[in-house]
Amino acid sequence: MMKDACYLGSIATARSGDKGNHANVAVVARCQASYRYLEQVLTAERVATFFESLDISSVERFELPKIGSLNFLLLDALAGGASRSLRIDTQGKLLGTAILELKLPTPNNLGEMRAIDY
Amino acid sequence: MQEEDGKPLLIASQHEPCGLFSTVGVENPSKLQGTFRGSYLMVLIGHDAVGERLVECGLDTLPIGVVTGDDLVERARNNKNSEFKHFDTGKSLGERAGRTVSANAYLGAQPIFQALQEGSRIVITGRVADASLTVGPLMYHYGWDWEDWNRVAAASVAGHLIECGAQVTGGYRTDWRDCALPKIGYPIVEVDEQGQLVVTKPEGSGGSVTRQSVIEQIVYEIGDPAAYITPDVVVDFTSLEVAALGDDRVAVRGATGNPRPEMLKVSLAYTDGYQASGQLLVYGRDCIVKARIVADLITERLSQEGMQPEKINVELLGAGDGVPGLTPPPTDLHEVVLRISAFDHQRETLEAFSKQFAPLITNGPAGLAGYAQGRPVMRTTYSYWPTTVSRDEITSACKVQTAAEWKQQGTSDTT
Repeated sequence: MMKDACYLGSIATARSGDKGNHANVAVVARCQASYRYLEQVLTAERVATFFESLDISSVERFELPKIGSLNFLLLDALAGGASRSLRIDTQGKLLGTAILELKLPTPNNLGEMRAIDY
Repeated sequence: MQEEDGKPLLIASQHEPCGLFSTVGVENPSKLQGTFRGSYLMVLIGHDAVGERLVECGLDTLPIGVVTGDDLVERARNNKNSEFKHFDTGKSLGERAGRTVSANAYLGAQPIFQALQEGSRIVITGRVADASLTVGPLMYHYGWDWEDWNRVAAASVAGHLIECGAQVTGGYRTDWRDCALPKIGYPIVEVDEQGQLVVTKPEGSGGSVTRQSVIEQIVYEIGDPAAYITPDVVVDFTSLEVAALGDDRVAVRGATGNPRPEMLKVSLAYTDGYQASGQLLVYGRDCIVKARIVADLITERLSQEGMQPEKINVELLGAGDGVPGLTPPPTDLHEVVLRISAFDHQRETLEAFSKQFAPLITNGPAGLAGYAQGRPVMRTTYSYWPTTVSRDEITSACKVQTAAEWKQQGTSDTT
């Protein structure tokens, strides 16, 4: 367990959706300082570990620095996808809300990151 | 879009060159009837019905363009050349071909453009990329070159931003508490001749358009942001810049694009067994243990009947199973919803599954409710098979006639 942790949701927002049997979970930093920090710590590995229980085959990360966003593609995350998954969340709509609970080491400049500077 | 006296409000384009662009996403074609009403339904029941409705509204002479050529279902069913390989796995469609219920190529914006050029005031099209609904009218309005990839990309970004309606004006937003949701405004995207965009919403409407609401929609349902593939252009979202202008106005600039792909995406669906889901409320301080016992009871009784569904999924809703395995169930829960779902290729297995719920009233544990919902409804499972087809094998066609002519054609087709 991390001794000094902050939730991703305190410095970013998120939105998720489906692409066939894959899900995309995009994380949008609330400010530039937050994006620079997330670029360092919010790795594909960390996201894959967080969603381990979904039987994802792999996670790919894509960066959009100009809009302070990281896009994660969760391959085979949806147990068959929208038309045949037996889960209540057939389209991965909850994953965006879920990732906001991911714990990260508290950055030194957390106060700065909570302020929206856009 | 709402109905009024049974007449849909789809007549905005009578005088002004404006249009209503809308898509209907369907995961289960059998649920269509009754799910969508009004103008959406018109699109689904076809152009002759649209013609009929418009004639009822006194718009006999309104030209309607109908774009066809996307439908590949017959070709998929007679798939002799092992075409239509799955674009993720590379597998052949094989024996699934015979069970194909729909196969549609994503045509893109050019046939919509053509329909507008030929005078259509309403265009009804087969499958296109959602963004193409915006690209077609913009190409028509500004007369941009189809190989001016940055302009076509800007038009596609405009379409991507508004294709999910209020998802860019506050719906589905992480910060939804900051938005007035009851009268949420639907989005407006203003596009200038240089391809610069401003996202906004009608004055006085609810919701909000902020930098965050716009960016959340830019990154919605995308894969590699540097190569967002549409039939019209490959868009690079990483070049976009977003700036709040105040008063629910947000600028989106800097769209860039690369040449459109040679292959067109095809969305194919085939029947693949049956599925059903049932829910019960499980009450009491032992609700979590009890819910699991009830789930086991159902599978145990099914196996006594010699039935073993190929897949069973048990979810304890309220105990954290919305995203399975992410959070441990709370220890002080007093009620939980048991949702149990099954899949099998045999209809009989699913029928037996659906019959397991009602008997629990008398021969299950105390503290269950929810039987009044009735037996779980069994439905056909449609599996999705994304594939591609070469652009030069697709011939789209566009026909423009007045509403009265479409109505007439509908009447003669059915008699």
